[in-house]
Amino acid sequence: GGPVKLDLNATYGATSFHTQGAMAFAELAKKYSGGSVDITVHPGGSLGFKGAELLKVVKDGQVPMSDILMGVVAGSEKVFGISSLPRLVGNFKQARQLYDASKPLYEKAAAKWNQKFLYAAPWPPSGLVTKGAVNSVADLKNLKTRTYDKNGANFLRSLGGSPVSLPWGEVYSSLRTGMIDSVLTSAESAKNGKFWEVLDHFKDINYAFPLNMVTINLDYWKALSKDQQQAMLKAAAETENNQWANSESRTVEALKVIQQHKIAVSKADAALNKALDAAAAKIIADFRKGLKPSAQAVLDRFAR
Amino acid sequence: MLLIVGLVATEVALRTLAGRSTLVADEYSGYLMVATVLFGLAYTLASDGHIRITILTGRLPEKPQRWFESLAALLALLLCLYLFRHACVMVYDTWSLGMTADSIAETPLWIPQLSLLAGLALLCLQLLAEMLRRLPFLPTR
Amino acid sequence: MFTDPLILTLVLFGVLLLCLLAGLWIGFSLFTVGIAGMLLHQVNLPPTISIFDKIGGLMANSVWNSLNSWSLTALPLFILMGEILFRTAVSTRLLNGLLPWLGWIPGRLLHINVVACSLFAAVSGSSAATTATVGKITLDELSKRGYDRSLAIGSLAGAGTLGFLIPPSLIMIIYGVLSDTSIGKLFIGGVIPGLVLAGFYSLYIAGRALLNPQVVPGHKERFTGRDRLASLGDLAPVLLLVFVVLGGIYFGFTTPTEAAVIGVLGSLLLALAYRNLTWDNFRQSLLQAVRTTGMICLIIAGAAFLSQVVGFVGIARGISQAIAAMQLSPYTLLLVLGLMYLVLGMILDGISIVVMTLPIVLPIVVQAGFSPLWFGIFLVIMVELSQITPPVGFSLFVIQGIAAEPVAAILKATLPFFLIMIGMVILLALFPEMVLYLPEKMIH
Ligand code: NA
Ligand code: NA
Repeated sequence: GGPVKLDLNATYGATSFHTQGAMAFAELAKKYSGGSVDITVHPGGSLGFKGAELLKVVKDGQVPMSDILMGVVAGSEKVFGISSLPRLVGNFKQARQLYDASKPLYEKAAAKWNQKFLYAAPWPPSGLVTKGAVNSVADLKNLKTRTYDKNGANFLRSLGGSPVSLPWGEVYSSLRTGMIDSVLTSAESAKNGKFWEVLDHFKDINYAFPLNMVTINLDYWKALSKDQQQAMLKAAAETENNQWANSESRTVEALKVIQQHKIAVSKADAALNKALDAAAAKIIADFRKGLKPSAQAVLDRFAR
Repeated sequence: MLLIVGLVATEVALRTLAGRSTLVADEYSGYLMVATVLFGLAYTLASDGHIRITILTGRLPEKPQRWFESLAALLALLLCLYLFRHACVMVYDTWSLGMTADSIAETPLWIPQLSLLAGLALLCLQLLAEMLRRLPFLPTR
Repeated sequence: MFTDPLILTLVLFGVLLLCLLAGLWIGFSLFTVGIAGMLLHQVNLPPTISIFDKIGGLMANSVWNSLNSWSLTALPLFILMGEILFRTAVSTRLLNGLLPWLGWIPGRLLHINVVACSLFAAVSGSSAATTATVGKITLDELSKRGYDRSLAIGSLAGAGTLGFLIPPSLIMIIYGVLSDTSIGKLFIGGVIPGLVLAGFYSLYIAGRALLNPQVVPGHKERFTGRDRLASLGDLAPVLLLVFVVLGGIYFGFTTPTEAAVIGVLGSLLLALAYRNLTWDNFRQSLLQAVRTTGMICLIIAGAAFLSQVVGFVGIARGISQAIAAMQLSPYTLLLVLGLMYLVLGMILDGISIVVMTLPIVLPIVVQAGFSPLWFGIFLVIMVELSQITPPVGFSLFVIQGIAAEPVAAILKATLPFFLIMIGMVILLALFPEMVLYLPEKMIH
């Protein structure tokens, strides 16, 4: 009978970039399969999953499909940590090259975890949103920065800062109270969080272009007909290209919006860039240890 | 013994939190929270602290009332065993797949998850005791 | 099987009722309903995965996930703080200290729940913690002094829920993140409604005391200005504690969980200073805190699993879509939404309600012309209501843990305050400025 129903877990809210991508993917999959694949996107983590366990819950088929921030499952499968390494790439073009080079590794790792890798797209690149300007390494000293993963924390700590790990929901109020005074995040998130109410500078350091991927459990995948699988792959490829383009245009747009709201946007100068790269190199070198040679080769192609 | 475990878990939670400003306080207090709760569940049951609605069953004569209570304990025991079994699967997978937290400490997740198993096992035992204790043909306590 | 979410909802309600009436513990009842929901719903499964493995996996995962939470850690700590204050002379002194100040108002010390909850709500982000801490200190003291127990319990249930409305507030933070609304504005927007609501509670208590003088003890002491001055000696340490805990959060030294630890240490220090701290009452406090925490958390874990199932089978989605399809006028829409939240609030915890319905409800509401900021406060009050509606009402559970009264008596005591809250919702709908005035004034 009826269409095949699949649930897709999305961690972020309904209006967020990656959830909208997942919804667009669901539409396309429905269209190309002639309505025979019906994907329900559950936004805002409303299925009760937090993140780090997603690779495992998709593996077990507890949820058939999920949108996953690759960095948070690097504790389960190291190779998924590549896209969240600091300053490995400097712009969208390089980020795409890195992704194309790593894609076979991702597909293989996903298969190992009993899932089919469908597509991935980058978050807009993260920079430093601060109270007061950051122009040199000295300005980074003792900055209380909210970071979203351990790379970010190690990166800023080695530059003399005091990184803080906080749930995203507590960031705004902590900025207000002064418990933190800066956030390592994208212009897009700064815009959505209306950070201009509390912060006034954005340092566009292109810290990282972290990827979100969408995967499907292999048992569910194999239960689909060949035509349905083809439709899904076609929808995935199209969504992937759209999302990469959207990520870039949204970054440009978001930078404009935060500037309109009196957040000063600037790039790092040569001296600061050099210090940032040095701090990043340590983290990349640490990460490189214990990686398979194939993954090391990818890193070596991009490390500055 | 149960009480001691509950006590220690709570105390450790306090001490860990008091020595804060580490980047792992939030992570570890979460683990300790799980441990406190899971070890506390059986104690709470033993001291009749869990809530149930007794509007109907409370009006029955003693014997059927005890049957009902015993049955409820049996149902809860079955649920708890089922949960325990799948918690074992989860912890085993977490261990065999080498999953770690996405934090600075990179804690292997199976270690804090062990408290889940121990706590559920204790709760199962306590439920079994509750079920037997309420059987009408056995003496109370 | 059951493809229509509305029918499935009714069936699941039936299962829940059956479990509860049979005397199964509430937490386990929620697990049972969740399992029933998964079994009754037509879940698409590939041949290689068994439904029982899927359900079991979900259950184990939701128990781990719902309890492994940094913000939840504040709950047992604030409960412990309340236990310590309760078991030592601190609470008696607080009441003694407040007496000369509240003595001239009709209802006298009965207002203490309202005053103390408002104070404590400014420290804690959750209603359960507010209710637990204040209730632990006040309920037995009030009964001992001959105040009406029912009114004391009702005012505690009502005022305890202020924890979500007066900032900081867990629910507002979640709403702000999901709806793309400024959390700072939400916080400020909750202040006036919170204080007004507290005012209504006090008015009601005063009214009851005037109409029915037996609710307060017969003998009435007279107090002089000198008494009030002397009472400050009793009040000061507690006010200092509140200030330290609250100040820590407002001035940015601590998160709520850390503030809770400071609160625990502070109350231990106070108890030491009053020479009340014995090993025995410390041990008792710890055990009781573990017991209350275990009780609440079994239900939290069950609710987390049920929420997950509700998400999978599309109940919240189904109901919201049915409402969207009706094309209602703004006020009718609000009424229908209010009723929907009341029903959902019976079985679900506040966070789940917000997370599951918002994606569909918010666009409808905005289209009908309501501001997201205003709707956030509306939603917070609906969540507050869900705290005191059976069968899953966390404030009710907390109070039961403290007061050891039958659920029916607690419900009866709570009803007037429930109705006051409903009145507050209507007032908010008529005068949205109550929410919007301060945020517009204070931020830009
Ligand atoms: Na509050
Ligand atoms: Na409720």
